[in-house]
Amino acid sequence: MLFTFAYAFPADRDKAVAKIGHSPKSMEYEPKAFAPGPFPLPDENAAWRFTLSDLAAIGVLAALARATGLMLVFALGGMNPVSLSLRTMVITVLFIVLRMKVRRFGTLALAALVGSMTSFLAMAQGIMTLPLLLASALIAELFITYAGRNRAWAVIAGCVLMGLMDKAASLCVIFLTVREETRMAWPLAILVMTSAAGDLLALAFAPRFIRELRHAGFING
Amino acid sequence: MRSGSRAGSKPDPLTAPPADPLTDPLTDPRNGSPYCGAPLKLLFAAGASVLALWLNSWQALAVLALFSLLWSSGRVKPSLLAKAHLFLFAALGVCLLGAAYIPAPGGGMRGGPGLSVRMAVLPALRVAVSMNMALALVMSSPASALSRFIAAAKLPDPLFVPLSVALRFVAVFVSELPQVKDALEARTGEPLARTALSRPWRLWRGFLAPMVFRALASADSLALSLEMKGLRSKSLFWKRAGAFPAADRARLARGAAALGLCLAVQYREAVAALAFRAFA
Repeated sequence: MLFTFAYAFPADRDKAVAKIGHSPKSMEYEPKAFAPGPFPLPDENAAWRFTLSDLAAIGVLAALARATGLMLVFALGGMNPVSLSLRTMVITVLFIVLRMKVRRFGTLALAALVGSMTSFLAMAQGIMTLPLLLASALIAELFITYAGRNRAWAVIAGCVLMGLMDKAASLCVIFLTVREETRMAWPLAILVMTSAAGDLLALAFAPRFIRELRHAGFING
Repeated sequence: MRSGSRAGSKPDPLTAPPADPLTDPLTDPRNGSPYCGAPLKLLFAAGASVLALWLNSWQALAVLALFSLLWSSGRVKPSLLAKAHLFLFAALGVCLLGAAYIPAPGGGMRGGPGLSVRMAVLPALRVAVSMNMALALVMSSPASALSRFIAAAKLPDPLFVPLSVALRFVAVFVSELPQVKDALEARTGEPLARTALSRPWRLWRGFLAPMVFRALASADSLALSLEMKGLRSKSLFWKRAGAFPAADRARLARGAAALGLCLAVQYREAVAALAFRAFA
């Protein structure tokens, strides 16, 4: 928190940066009043550098995605269309919330990596799709970066794109597993496509949810 | 006589002294791996799954499935293993039945009329290998051993912090979710499953929103407390052992030999030619 509030009013800071081209010294946080000795302040504007609060948010939301998925499976059963699409929708919405909260390049890839490693450690699943999932997360990050990382529609579209590419990766692994008799893959492919419908449902629900989180003050901008 | 004062009764966990790390069977290096072999199991689970995808000879896959069954039979209850195999083959049977109604690409049926069951054996063996290794990993590695291994594996901070937070918070959220579910059911007057089917939008306000708000508030307070404690990942852990202690190295060599044998069975003609050239 000491480092997070480096600027008292980020909007004023942004206006000043836009006007004079650099951050005015008078608006920067003065660490001398609180810190006993010199210590390096993290560069909060660095696109790649994650602060501790960013990392904690990534970990907590990855855990929440896993726990909510488990809860929906326990409540609704694992292999029905409602459960599959709801679970996917919740996970995609949580990814959108995370990307709106932590606006740094690589957030989605890091969250996907942490989620996959958690699944692998807890249930030994998801290791086969991890490389393709990371690739899809990086493509989604590039999309968000070029479409505008502060635009909500870009973040939502990027996360849905990532979800759809993840489903495509799952289909690839399924077809690779049953490559000798590809007809066996079709029943599983129908399940994967049903869960991909959840990604499209997230397109409808995510904007309302983000609006609520903005009102509650958890997301700014 | 009070039951709490009887000689030989179980010690109270709240007042008992903390366990000595050197007498704890999980951490005592004299008992072999301090992580219950978790890194070894992780490595084998990943390696065997990838190898199963790579292999396409039924002999090699059968050898790999046999090894995975032997590996898991010592670590998983036989009844659980039998149930898991029963479920797997039932699911594959359903897939086979479904596939029987789909015509093969290019017209006609591959392998004669009907479905080629011989071709369906290879996917079944692949899935069985992954399932056996996953069961061995999950059923015989406590979460504390996995966390200890992650702490000792010297992962970079951007990966280590969220991973350890996620592993810790999954259990917290799983224990909190029933309360949220009960609150939603009390509000709607019907089970969660029925609400999800009849009015799924109610799940939004009653189920997901409270959990997300709680998670984001937890993340903020967790980050604050970590900063206040001056988190430095290098100083967090009291113990940093190698990921593969000496007791595990022999198991690692045996496992690598088993995986190598499967590869040798797959490429047996090339191996035989090499051996013939070496000895002739």
